Amino acid sequence: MIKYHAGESFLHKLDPRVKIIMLLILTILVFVTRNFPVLGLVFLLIMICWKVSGISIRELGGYLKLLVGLVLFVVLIQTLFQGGETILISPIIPDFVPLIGGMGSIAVEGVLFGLLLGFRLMVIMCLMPLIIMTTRVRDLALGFVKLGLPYRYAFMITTALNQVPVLQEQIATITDAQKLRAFTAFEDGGTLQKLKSYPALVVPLVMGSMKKSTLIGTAMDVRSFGSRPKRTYLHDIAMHGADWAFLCFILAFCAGMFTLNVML
Amino acid sequence: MRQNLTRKRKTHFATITVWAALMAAASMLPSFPILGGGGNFSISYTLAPLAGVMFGPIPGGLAALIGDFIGTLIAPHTANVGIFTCLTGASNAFAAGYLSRGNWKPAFGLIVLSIGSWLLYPAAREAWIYSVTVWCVGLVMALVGGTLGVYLFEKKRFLWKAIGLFLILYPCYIVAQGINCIFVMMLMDLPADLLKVLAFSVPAERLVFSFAAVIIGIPLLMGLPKIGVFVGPAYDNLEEETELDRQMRLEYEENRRKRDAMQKECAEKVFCQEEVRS
Repeated sequence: MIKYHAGESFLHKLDPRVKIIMLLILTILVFVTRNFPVLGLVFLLIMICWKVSGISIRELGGYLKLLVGLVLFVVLIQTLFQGGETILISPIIPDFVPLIGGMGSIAVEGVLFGLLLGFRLMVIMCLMPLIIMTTRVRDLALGFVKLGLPYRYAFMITTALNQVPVLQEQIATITDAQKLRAFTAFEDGGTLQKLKSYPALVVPLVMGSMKKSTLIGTAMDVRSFGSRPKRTYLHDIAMHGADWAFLCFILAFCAGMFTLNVML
Repeated sequence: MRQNLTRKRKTHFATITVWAALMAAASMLPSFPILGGGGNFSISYTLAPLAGVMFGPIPGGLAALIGDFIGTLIAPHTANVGIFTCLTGASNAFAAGYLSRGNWKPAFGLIVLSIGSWLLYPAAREAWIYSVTVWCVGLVMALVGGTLGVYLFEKKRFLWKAIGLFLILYPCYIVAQGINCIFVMMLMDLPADLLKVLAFSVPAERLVFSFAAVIIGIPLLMGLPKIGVFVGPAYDNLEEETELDRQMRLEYEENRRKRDAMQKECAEKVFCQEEVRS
């Protein structure tokens, strides 16, 4: 699970609003671009941000391992199915194979396109942990509120984020309880067995959580949550010179990249 | 003038929050890969349409949106289209909320929207079979789910209820697939040959997802009201207890408790007196 890493870097001190805008705008940029140079520059910017944040690159490496399968899948699919003029291997299936023999080919264009899409996916995936690891949940919610999201929804996001570890603990407890009853499908079972075993985990989990939600709801109601539309904050955020400068830099960078994308 | 002191039951946002947290926590559990867009199927994928069925289209959609958004943040490797992945679950819950309440139009409209954006891609136009097996079947199923599905879902028998829920959930997964496809095609530009293969695997996968959601959803929909959590279309029009009702009920319960205690005390006294006499 990606968590906040305490630190005193420039990125940690950056206003959460700037980080949210950066996440959104860079994601859109990656979605619309199909050029290696543009993607490379965006990736370089993200890597510089990682370096500046002071968070060990191993953290990213460990997390990227989870992505390898997905990226390889995308590359492989495009290599096999996307045709091209410069043929590398043809046919993929040898002629002696009955019915489907002699089919398929791998072209340089297909491989390059696959690599481009895999790289694109990796760039998007590297961006999100950067924001979460350098921003406190509290600040992230406040950032959303200051960007115009009603406090009620921001509160929901933070409360849900805080509830996740509690629920994970509950999942572990239920799994252990099932194991004590010699129910090991979660660990040793095949895909179908795991699928069948889900109700044994999910039903008690949801039942318990729903009961808990009524308690949380009552606790919120007795404190008259949401009765006053305007709120005050103990820890407030404000845009400083450095925040404005970084925001301008990001906007200029993205504008430049959009232009480069159109030109190339 | 007579005042209406009753109000319709509304989903408390603490419930939405906890459901969102559940979806986020579930996204960390082991998942199975889905062919095509490189996504994967986890428990949170079954909880999304159930949120719609249980809480209604807007609260359910909100729960799924927040849950998937948090899931994307804490486990980005499960999000095949980045932060836009959360729209998949939200559309799923939104469609399920309306369909389970007999309104098939939003689900139908979302599938039509998906078809519109889908046909913008040359590869998608080339693989026309995909449109037939996924989208056209989805449109028909939206009609069936919104009519026959709802009718069966309202039955008390377990089997009919399960079949009804299955008919409701299948088109919702097609809606989610449609929304996901918009971003997948934008990001991955899947080739036509692959889409022709997916034309048969996608409906089969959605059948499995719907089946899994039914396996989880039916015990929940039947069990949650028994523990005092009234969720689902059957309880939408249940009038919420007002403060006055609550005070009256508490007073009644208190009086009843006192009366029972007095009766018990009297019975014990009589018993003791009889014992002394004997």
